[in-house]
Amino acid sequence: MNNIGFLAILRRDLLLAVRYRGDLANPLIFFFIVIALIPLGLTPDSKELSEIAPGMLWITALLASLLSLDGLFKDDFADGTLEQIIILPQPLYFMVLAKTIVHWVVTGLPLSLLAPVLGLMLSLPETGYLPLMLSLLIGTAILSLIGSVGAALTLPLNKEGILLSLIVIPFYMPVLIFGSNMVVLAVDGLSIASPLAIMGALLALSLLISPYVTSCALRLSIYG
Amino acid sequence: MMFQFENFSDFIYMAGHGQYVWTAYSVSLIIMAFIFVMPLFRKKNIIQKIIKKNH
Amino acid sequence: MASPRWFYQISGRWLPWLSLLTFVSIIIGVIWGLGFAPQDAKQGNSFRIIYIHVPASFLALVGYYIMAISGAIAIIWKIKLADVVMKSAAPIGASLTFIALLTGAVWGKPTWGTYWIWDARITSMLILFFLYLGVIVLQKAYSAQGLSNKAAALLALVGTINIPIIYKSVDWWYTLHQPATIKFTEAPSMHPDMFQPLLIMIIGFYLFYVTALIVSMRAEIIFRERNTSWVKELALNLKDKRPI
Repeated sequence: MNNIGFLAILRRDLLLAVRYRGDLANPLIFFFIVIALIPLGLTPDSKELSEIAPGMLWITALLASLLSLDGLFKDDFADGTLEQIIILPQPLYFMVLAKTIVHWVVTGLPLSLLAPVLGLMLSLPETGYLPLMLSLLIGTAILSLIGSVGAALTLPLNKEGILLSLIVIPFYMPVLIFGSNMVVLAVDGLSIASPLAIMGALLALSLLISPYVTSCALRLSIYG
Repeated sequence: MMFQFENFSDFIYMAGHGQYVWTAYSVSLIIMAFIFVMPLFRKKNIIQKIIKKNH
Repeated sequence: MASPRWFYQISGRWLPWLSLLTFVSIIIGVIWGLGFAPQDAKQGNSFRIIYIHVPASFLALVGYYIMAISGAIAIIWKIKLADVVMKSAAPIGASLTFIALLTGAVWGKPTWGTYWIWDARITSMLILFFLYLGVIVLQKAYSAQGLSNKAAALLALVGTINIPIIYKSVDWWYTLHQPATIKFTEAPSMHPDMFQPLLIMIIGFYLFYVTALIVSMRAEIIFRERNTSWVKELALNLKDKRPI
């Protein structure tokens, strides 16, 4: 495999992410703030909180990942970099994959690592910490891959924001179901093997399909 | 095959389920009629605009 | 062949007959279902809603595939007519999904005592409605900027991969959380007296789908070709007659 394009994009986007560190924290702060809303809006009772914690943590992480999608291709599209990337004699599939991986590294990965702390705040039983992290690690990767399709499809429109969410959320639903179910099973002391296997299968499937569809969508966005 | 109700008011009442059955049927059929008629109006509008432009 | 103009002319000849057939079959189905089909032993007369609910749910799903496949044809082979089908199919499919959800809710009230429950099939139908809404919203956003329809076609196509996954995952979710109080008693086989009107209604809904699609496509074709000479000619010919 000739992967110069893949490595170059990976390096460039990671470097850009490090240069603009300020933006890195935004999804995490969002995650944190929304989790703080839950006891305020529902109940401070730790028993009740622990029951809804897996679902709430998952929904909030999903929204945080969703809100960060907006910038995935936007800047590169605005300054013409994206067009240059598309006409490179390198497979677009791998370059899109590189961009998506960087998106996951700067949003999904920190979200997953932070999640146990927020789980603690929502009285999630300790047995749930590792499965929560594991399900979010795999799950946010799937979310980034699916989300890249939505980000590419809404690229030429001026008012993405909410439109992107409308398009992408229905596709997120299976990931939410299996992800939060994994945590619930772990908390109840049951085996997490089957949701884990399904999440793995979903990850493999979206790794295979998403970058390809995103490439098509990017070409459509630029050449019509 | 025969008519299942004694008389017309029985048919409307449907042993207490009339309100649900008639709501479901009427709203559905209204929506379907709407789907059918809207494009006809749209087409009429476009054609009238073309006629106006070409005069 | 397969040009929008050719389609417009040939469909104009079929349309009156198709409309008549649709109208007749739906009227027969409605009268049969409302008045002549026997009532269900358990659900009584509320069962009659099935004659709208099932055909609508059925075509809501079929309609998504029709939309996605024509979108694929439009993207791959760049056939204009397929793009028109894709554009017109989305609102019709969304309306049928809405009808399925609405009749399901109204049917639920006398049967389970509530308008809405988070049952697997209802939830799947709701997600299908969201998928339709996404496609429509994307179409509207693109056409508002005068751009092509292909992004929405691509979205619809991705949706077809997702529909089986969504259905399976919702089934999984529901079997884990199934409330014990609500049980679905699904008759393994319907009595012929109940099934015959259902068959008529399914045929009627298929005919309705095709007719509504053609009517909507004709308006879309006239809109897209409004600056061509054949449409201008058509408009001027229709000026003295009734423009339908």
